[in-house]
Amino acid sequence: MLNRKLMTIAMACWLVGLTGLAAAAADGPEDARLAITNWIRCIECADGELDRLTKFGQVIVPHLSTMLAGGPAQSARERVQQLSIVNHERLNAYAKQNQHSRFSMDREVFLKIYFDNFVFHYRSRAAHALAAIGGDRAEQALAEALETAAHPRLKAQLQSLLEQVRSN
Amino acid sequence: MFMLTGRHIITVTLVCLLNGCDVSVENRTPSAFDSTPEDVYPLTARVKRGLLVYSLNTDVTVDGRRQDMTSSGGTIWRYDHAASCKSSVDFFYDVNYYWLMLFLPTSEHKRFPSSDIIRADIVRQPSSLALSGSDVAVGDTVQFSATIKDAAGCDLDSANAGWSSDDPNIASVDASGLVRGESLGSTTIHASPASINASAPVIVYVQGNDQIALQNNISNDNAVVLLDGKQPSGCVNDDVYRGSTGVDVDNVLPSNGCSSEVVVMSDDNALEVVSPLSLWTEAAGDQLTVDLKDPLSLSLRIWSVHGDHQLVQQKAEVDLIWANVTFGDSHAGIIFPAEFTDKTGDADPAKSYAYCNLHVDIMQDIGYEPGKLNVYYVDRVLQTSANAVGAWCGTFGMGGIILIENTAPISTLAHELGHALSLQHVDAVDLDADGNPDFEMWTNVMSTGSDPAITPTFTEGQAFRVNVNEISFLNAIGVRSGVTRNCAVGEHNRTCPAVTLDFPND
Repeated sequence: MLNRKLMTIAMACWLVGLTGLAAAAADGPEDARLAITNWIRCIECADGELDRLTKFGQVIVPHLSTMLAGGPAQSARERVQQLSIVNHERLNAYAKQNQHSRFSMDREVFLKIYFDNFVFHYRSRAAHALAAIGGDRAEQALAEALETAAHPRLKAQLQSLLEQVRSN
Repeated sequence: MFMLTGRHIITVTLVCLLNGCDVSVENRTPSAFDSTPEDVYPLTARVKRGLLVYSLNTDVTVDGRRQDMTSSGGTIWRYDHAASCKSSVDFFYDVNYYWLMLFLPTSEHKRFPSSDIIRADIVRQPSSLALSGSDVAVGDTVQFSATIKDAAGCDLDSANAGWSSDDPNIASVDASGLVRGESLGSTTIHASPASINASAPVIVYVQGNDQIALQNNISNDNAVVLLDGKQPSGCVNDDVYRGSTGVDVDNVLPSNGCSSEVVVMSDDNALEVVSPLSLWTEAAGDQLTVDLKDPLSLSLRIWSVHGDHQLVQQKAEVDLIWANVTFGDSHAGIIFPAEFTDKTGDADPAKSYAYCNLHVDIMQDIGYEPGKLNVYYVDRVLQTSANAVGAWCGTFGMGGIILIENTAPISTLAHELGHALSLQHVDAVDLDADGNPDFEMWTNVMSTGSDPAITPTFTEGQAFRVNVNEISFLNAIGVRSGVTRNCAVGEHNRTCPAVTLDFPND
């Protein structure tokens, strides 16, 4: 129950960052919000999530650029960190009671890895969406993000995506 | 076919405004209604005056509804029995005719009304019979009813249904259909009005409880017990009880047309499906003992393909615990013991291993263990999009392949295991009343999307499916034996509980 409440709060905070979509496109800001949400969070992403997002075209490039540059909102980061703590305790307790499970990751590493992954995926998906939409503003956003990116995988992705945009 | 028989009450009031006018209605007495559901009777009416015969235009009202009777060569009376279901019918005949003044230089029509009322009784034969009633406790009574219909589906009088009982010592029945439970047992109640008959079983039981006892409940948790069966209230389907050592249930009767099944789901035991068809009796105090077994072990072989093996393994361990919590807390009764293999040195830098259709590369370069779910932690999972984080690739030989991205959210492995065990996505994300995504939908592991905030749980409906669905990897490779089903996401019937069947764990 705690997880569910925290998750709802986290998502609400995260959504605050999406309110800039008020005039997103002909399909309406809610549709754009939903398309972004689906794309950011999809697992297999085999249900046309990226296509449904890119159809909004240039109108959502500024918002995606902000997502790429800044990552999740601070409030969302804090909530996700809290959730990670809850998860760690729960999983650790399970591992201690069940011989078939092993939990060798340090708590601090656990918290860092899953938080970093959360931020990485958020920015990575924004970058992929920008590359799929293309155009000067998308290229500029990718280039600026590449200059400051520290995460090695994000950096590699940005490089590749930038080449892709420039070649089109 | 409906027969009009007997003496028809015929009142003919013909008013002719001219003396000597003679209006006759031919074929006035219907002999048979021979079409169903709309019975048609032809009527010919003529007006005679001397040698002159004039054509008629007529209108007829049947049961208050005006009928168009202007067809040439006569008229038609229509009575729609299936719509009206009358035991008799009145035909009100209103003739308007025109008299042609032959000897005038120009034709002149005059109107002469006349009327005719015919009442015809309709004798209807019973065509179908259905009985309804319920089981009855010893010493109690229950009213049985008979629904008798004719061929058009109209109800007939059921006052004299001709009730009888096969065994009045178990259940007796009087002339009105009142059934009395005399002693424990089952018998059959009959009704035989006219030439047809029907019967209905009746169980005479005692008021009281039966019990479903649970043995070897490992964690002593509040197990979920789903009961299908026949009870005094009728057939029950997936009635839910909770208990650690057993549950009391209202007297379960011999199945008598109802499914008979007990499903027990607990945290740390395998899901049990029992069909105690012959166990339940009319007496109270029957006891079904369900011997719970250890959870099913579905072994994983986890391969580190890319990245730092130690870190990948540690993350895989965490993902795995998350999966174990998910499947345990959701009462699926499955655990995932795993072995880890470092193959980061064997990955070909020129190959991505990111697509399921590269499974041959994966199996040859990295490795593959039949009889297990082979999980590969890789740099990228592309599958059908530019950027997935996990994929269930399917069964190859007697093993299966799952791809997980090294940075995938914590719930991704559990999600893909769900696919391997036959689960489909359950959301699509809906919008709430305010037009925002309904994030409650994201709490289920089988949502299309994941997030660090997702909770490690799915529903008992899904837990049931991962066990019994024929295509579940558990059944495909023989980890589990026993009854199999094919319960689709939207399917909810007597053999498949709703996928949303969900109970808080305790």
